[in-house]
Amino acid sequence: MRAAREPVHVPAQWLGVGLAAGVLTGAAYTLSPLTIIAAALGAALLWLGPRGLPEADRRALRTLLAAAIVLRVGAVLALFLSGDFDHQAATLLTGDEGYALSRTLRLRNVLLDIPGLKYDYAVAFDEYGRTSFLAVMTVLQVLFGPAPYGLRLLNMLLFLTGVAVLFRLARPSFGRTPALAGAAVLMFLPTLFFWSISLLKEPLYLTLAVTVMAGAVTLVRGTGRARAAALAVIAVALWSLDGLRPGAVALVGGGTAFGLLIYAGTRTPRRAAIALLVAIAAALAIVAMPATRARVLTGLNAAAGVHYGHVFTVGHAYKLMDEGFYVRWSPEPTMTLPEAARFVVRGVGSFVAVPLPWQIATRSELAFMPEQLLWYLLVLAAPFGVVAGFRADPLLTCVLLGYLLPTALVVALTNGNVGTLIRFRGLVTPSLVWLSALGLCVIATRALTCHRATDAGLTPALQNSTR
Amino acid sequence: MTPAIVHDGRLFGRFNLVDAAAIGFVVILIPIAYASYLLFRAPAPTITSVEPAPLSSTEDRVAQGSTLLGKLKVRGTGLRPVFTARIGGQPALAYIFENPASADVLYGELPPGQHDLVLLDGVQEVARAANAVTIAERPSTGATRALVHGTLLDLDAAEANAMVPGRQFPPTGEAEARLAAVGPVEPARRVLGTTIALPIDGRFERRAAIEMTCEILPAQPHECRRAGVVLSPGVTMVVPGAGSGLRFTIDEVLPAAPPTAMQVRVRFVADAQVLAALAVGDVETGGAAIPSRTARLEQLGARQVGTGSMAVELSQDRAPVFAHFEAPATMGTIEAVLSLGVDPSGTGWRHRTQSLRIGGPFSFATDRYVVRGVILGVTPRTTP
Repeated sequence: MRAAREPVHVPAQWLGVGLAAGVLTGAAYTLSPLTIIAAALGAALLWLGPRGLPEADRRALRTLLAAAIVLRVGAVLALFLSGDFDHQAATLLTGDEGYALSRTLRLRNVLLDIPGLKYDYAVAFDEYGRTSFLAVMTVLQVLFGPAPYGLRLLNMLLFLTGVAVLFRLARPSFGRTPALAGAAVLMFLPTLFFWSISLLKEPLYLTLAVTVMAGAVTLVRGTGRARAAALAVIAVALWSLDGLRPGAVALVGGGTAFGLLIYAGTRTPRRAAIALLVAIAAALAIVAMPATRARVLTGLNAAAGVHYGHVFTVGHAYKLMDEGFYVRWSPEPTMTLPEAARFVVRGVGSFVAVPLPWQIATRSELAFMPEQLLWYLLVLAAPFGVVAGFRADPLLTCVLLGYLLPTALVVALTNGNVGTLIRFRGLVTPSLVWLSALGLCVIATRALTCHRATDAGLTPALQNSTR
Repeated sequence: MTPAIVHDGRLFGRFNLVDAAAIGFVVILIPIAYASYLLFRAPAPTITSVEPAPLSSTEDRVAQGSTLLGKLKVRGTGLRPVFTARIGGQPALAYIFENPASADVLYGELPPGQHDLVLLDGVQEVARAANAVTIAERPSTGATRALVHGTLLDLDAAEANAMVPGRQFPPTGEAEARLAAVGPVEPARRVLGTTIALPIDGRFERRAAIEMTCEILPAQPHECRRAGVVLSPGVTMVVPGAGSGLRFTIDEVLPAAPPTAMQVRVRFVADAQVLAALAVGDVETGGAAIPSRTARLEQLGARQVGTGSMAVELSQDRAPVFAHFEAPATMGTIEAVLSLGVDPSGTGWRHRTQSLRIGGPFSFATDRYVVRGVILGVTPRTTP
């Protein structure tokens, strides 16, 4: 016979708080289920993100994450309060968001058998702008109801999860200061801040790309089950990327593979020398052999065609080809090899420099200028970070470079609009920033060392010789 | 200290826990809900004005091939991006949101008269403008007769042989369509992609020219429609009045009036070997059912072989690719006279799909070859 249970002693004040919390959570869930789910996931991120790190790092990352979440929730709340309280009239940051939201609401109507007009079906199933992120948004809104603000919170968590994973990759390799600096820049850089709470695919893209990069590092460093798990994770992430953005699998998967190739080719000085020779031979072969030259030219002409489209759209445009190509419209320009070479050089230069301070044409570009100056700083510091990164952790450095370089090249050669360039440059910032932060730390350390050495009466040359 | 919940489940020993929860629900949740409602309720949409607006080519694209007859500019407050609109109980073609104070509504076929404009959020009516839309009686001046040239598809042997000039559809009563001319009975073929045509056993097709009326709507002055179908090359339609079984693919839409007989003098430019293939009596391809319009080679001048440069188009179905020849020794020209039927157009005479103007290009394609040249002269045909 079971013994009678002891009475449950619940302090009165606990009961009141518990009831109030339950009622409020229930009410909030009724108003916005996705917000409550995002709150639970946010708590999980705060707990799991820094888990397993040394105490100081754990505290620092948790503080950064908490601050990033609080600021973003505040921004989303401000958006909520600034608009009409209707899911269709949600305050939007960009026109693309408006398109994504209205399209997914139309898709939701179709799935729920809510009648629409012919135009609604045409928009819902339009080939233009199709991405798997629209499917994600639609499914979530079918499950939880229209959620223009809850989706922003979920995107925020996706973005911050990606940053936390990158921090965990960078911290053991590059050190505490570069890792914290990189995370702070990613979390609070204004462009990325608004990206991370947007209704766009970028946060999901970042998280999946980071998953592939982290998987690649684990694949090389791990053993047995860890490798198998990494392979599976990479496969799932690449599968998810397919359809998210045209060429996403090629850019992220191919870029990461390219990074691993650089890593394999630079492990020893001999290998590096061979790799350099092969690269030079390949470049010469491309120029010398008509067939390969024609293929490269075809690709560059196709890229120039996309660039051309950007130049002739609304907004602040910039040009990469020789001026004569802009006189008459052509869907695919036909450049010669020297013209293509000038196109590539201008493209790479513009990717780094545009918009230059004297090219500012709008108030929004003027507001962007401080971030542009920070971008210049990041680009200038990156080479120092690459050198230091190769010494500290060649594998991670190569994986970051492997993701960064092809994406940067594609963005550089296909753009012709300042606003679009700024947006797409955000694709490479998450990998560039760690190398730049490391580079800035290297520069700062050398400057300090040099300053101390000079104070001690040593010349830099002497200081170097004593290092 | 007394525990909050005693062993018999009563709160503070007085209230039943379930009763207390129910009271808590009433006391706490309802005020929260009411406060939320007051704070977050969306303003109800209103319609302040509905005015007709001019159509543009953009709206034509939005209509996605439907008959687009008009556009309304709806002004109001609290308009939303994903509303739908109904006019006189019928769904509109499109509701296009501009901003919370303005939206466009596109509509198609509607009965004449005054109609309500209703905006809906999903299935819920959210705003109504009574008698705001006036549809005028449609003018009947847009009707015209066209000679539609193409191919009658998927016929059995009996049907194929029954297609004779003068046959009308339907067979009795007022004719909706009439066969003006037919070509020979040919085996039915299905073209796979753009590459090869495979014959279908026991099925036939015939080139045909069918006379039918079509309607040119004021909103789409460049299209002629028949039962909602735009008569244009590549469209497959059911022959009007023939029931659902007789399908017809359109190649060309021509005036129903007989063509004017003309002669054109053309200097063809091509490789000399190509020019050698030309012969007096050659007939333009695809014109079996429109013989009075089909071009026929009447006279050929001397072939001139010379040097020069020329570009030859190499691709057939993709973006044009040209091969440029510098001074090929076999390049030649030949002057030819062709007889053909032409129709008046907005820009002078037209032969089927080609504009006929002195100095302009002319293409002559038979089943064996295609040559291109420059028109030197266009004159009325003097001999029958």
